[in-house]
Amino acid sequence: MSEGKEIIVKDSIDQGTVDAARALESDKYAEGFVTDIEMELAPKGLNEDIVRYISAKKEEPEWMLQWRLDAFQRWKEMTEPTWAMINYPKIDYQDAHYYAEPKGAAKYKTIDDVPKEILETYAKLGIPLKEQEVLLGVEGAVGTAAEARETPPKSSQPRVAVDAVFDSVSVATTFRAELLKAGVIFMSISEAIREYPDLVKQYLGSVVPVTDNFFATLNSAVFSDGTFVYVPKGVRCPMELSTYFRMNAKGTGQFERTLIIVDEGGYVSYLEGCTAPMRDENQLHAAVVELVALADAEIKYSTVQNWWPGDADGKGGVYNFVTKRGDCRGARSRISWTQVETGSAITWKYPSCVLRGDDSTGEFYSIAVTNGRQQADTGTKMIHLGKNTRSRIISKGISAGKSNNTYRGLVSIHQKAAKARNFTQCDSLLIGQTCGAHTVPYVENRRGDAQLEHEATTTKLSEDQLFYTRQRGIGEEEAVALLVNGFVRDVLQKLPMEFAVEAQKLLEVSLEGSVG
Amino acid sequence: MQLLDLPSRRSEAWKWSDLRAAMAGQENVLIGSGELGSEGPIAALAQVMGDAYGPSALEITAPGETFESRITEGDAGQYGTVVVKAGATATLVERLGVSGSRLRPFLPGYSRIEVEPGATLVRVVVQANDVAVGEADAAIVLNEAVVKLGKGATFRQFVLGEGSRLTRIETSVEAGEGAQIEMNGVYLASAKRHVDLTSRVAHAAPGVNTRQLIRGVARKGGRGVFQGKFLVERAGQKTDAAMAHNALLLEEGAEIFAKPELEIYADDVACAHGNTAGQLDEDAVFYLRQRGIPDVDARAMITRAFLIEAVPDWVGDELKAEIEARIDAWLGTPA
Amino acid sequence: MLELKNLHAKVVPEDGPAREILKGLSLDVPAGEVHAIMGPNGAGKSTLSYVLTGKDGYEVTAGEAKLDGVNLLDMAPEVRAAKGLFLSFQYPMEIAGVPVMTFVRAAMNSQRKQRGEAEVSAPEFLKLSKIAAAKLRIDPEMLKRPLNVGFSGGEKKRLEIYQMLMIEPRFMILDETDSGLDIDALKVVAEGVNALRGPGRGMLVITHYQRLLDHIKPDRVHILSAGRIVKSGGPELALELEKSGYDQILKSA
Repeated sequence: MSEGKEIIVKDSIDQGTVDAARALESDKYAEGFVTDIEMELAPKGLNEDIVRYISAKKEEPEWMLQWRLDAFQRWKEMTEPTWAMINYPKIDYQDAHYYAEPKGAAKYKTIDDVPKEILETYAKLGIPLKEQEVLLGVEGAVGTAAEARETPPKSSQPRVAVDAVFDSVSVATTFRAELLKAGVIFMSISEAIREYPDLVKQYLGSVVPVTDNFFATLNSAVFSDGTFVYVPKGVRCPMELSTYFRMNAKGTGQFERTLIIVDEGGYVSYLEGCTAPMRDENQLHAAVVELVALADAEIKYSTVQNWWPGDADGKGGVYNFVTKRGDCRGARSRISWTQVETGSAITWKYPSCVLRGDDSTGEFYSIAVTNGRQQADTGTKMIHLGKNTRSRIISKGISAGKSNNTYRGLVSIHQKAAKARNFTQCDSLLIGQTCGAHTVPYVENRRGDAQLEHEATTTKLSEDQLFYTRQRGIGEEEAVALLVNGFVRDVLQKLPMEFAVEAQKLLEVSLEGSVG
Repeated sequence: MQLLDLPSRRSEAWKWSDLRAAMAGQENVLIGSGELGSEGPIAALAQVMGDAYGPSALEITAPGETFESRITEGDAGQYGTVVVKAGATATLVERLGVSGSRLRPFLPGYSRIEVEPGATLVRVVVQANDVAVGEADAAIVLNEAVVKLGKGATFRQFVLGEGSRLTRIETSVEAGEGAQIEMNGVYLASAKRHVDLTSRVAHAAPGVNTRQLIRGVARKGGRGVFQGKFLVERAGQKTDAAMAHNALLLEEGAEIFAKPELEIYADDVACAHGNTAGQLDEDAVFYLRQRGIPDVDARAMITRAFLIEAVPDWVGDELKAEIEARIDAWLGTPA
Repeated sequence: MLELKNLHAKVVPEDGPAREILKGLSLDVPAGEVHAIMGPNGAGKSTLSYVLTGKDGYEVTAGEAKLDGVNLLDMAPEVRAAKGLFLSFQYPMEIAGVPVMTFVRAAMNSQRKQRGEAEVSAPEFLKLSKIAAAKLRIDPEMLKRPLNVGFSGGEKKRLEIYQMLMIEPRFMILDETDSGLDIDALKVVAEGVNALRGPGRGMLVITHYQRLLDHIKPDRVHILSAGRIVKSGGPELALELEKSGYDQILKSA
């Protein structure tokens, strides 16, 4: 609460909320810096030669190139989907670089080869890439982002292995050797294509087919880097795995491709984080993530998405068109998606579960915050194919500023999904009168013995609650944060501990200026 | 208009009710039709069919009047306007049925309804089949009402849908300040029948109160569709709107598809929707059986009660008795 | 301590015309005293508590309200709270997802920060919380649940007093704290309130009934009617009111 405000009695909070719904201010986006490093870019545009260029850069085998070229042929015949509640000017797919790497990137043999600028970038983002630093509990000492993290790292803190993807390339992957001792393969997908072609061939595109949708097909043609994880039978991955995506170069898109396979009885918890510099252009991020859980396997996938959302007037920001799908292929398998979405100018994203195995479970927990001119159309699909399959959807949408926030979800019970169960809860919160909150659930039931429940509410931040909280001495912004935290609490609890703290901070920053 | 102009499952609004597929083989009704206009396919079709009767226009000024329309024969369409003048009260009963004189009846109806400030309209739509299932299945019944509510107007609607090869009863309401809306419905989808209740309520001014309760059941081979949308525009502050859709799949092979949708641009509102699709509460069935009621009867009793909860008293005793009798007949319960 | 002079206030509903509720209310509660305000329904009792704490929708059109000589009316609600003003709400809010202890700790720290004091440490907070809960016979498990969600009317009132003991305000307004309380709970709550009586503190007890005043003995009793104090007296005034009713007293006032 600023000095000025203390002496003004507002007519109503509502008025204050509306009039002063200050939009995002760019100085609040701590991750918006640019790393100055010499880059090597593919020529602008998208054609077969570019696809070949990317494949050659990655030193891919012929089959992979063919796969990409087939995808590209199909993509040319496809049209961009229009059903989502998002508006954006037509994207010129020829007006971007589809590949960007720091000069000499392909040659990093060890972490010591990684340029200082990149290491500093990640340190500044609070992501230590040197294993010994993680072991010592020394987080990047360079910048403010590190200081902003609330919990100081302790040596007892669980370690997190990181795959750092910088524009189109993975620049470092930590704890690889140690993980391999447990049988866990953790590396960039580019490396996996070369080193484990059989595994990749078997699973790539098996969850999200090449022609699944416009953006997934584009990704299949031009994907650059992402993470590959394989957890063998009966292995519980000894540490949290994560990928940190950083878009840095100007005029580029990022096309992440991630594939996670957990064999029978295995377990992994994986987290991805994403940030980008503040630029006044729109950058495209079209990702595909595929998860495969075999019998009795469990995958926990968490996302903290904080791409640059654009400025208060809607200038710039990342277009985030993402296809994420998990296949509960084996009996009793379990996949849960947890996402905290605060960034991007446009979010188009429906992390889904195909519940193929009998008794398998899919979960989706989501917090989506939009402010400024952001638009989010996000939700999930739960496709029940097997018997006794269960799914649970908890979605919390918060809209502020001039943003629009849509939950879109499908629960589909197929004919053989005996005794399937779904519970869905979608709550939307509006802050101010210039935003929108929408709920579009689709329910398809073909089984009489299925039980499906869906609840949805839309409310505003209650003035009475705000007043009550302020009467106890808590300032307005803090009161909003407290109430919003209460609103999203059951989802935050699903995040791994250390990320929950980060996510909570992110929420507060995202909503700063939403009341005034 | 041609078959290809009709919406198919690729169109978001018709994804579960594929009109193009249902009309295939019946293109002859499209001969001589004009362009598909901005009012949408039902209006266009109604206009074509309605020519035989000429557009109807009804203006209601006296209080307490009841009007009935009945479309039961052959290919009959209706395209008209209804105005309920300020302060008036009226009841509109529309019966959409098939008498069986033609094998593939086609019944499109489209009406523009205006309920002026302070006026009240009760609209009851009974879509039922009086003939053997086989024949009625071939019917395509399309009905759309576009309703405009003035300040403080009241609109109450009840729809009973028994379905056909394809039945879609669509209501689109634009509500003025302080309007009161109740929109209930019951659908009964047996084998080879498709019944789709679609509605959209735009809360375009402050203080609108909307209650919607749709209950439906489906048997093997039947498909029930509910698509409900509440739109609250920026001006729709203090909207209080609640939507509920509850469906029972009585047998294996039944299908229920639902899309209860909220689109909200005003912050000081209370909007909620609930959707359930499942089976009877077995505990309740057991409770009745423990009291000596046979399983079949117990199920029918509970199902009946479930459906009848959505039949409001304001339809009037006579209509209520008629609707309940139809539900009983459908369930096979002794009246 | 609390001085109200010729206070006029309107309630401004979002829909509908403004109505004047307080029509020249004057009142003086010196430090160390407990004053009771009694009055029939619609007299303006709750309006007074909201005007003093700064709720939206109330507009002061004339007069002044000062706490320790400082004008309250220009301050935001949280600033008034930090100055030591605490309202025990007639209808405490339910706040989903925010556990009682989280809420109270946030409130204490926010107030301390505003006053330039050090934050309360976790162990210290827990110690204080334990003492307050024991005093009010509150099950410590309850303090981990979201604030007031699913609590009974009596539990909510106890929770208000728990917050009061934790925050240690200097001036307290109890708005019908007795409603929803059975006689045992009333005693427990009154004990909690009495524990905060002291030379540096003041209190305004708003109630319909004498029974609360059996347990929280007031120094002065005021009768509020149609937006003004129409009669003031000692504790005996409440007894008289109980015996003869508002009509009688108002006639003689």
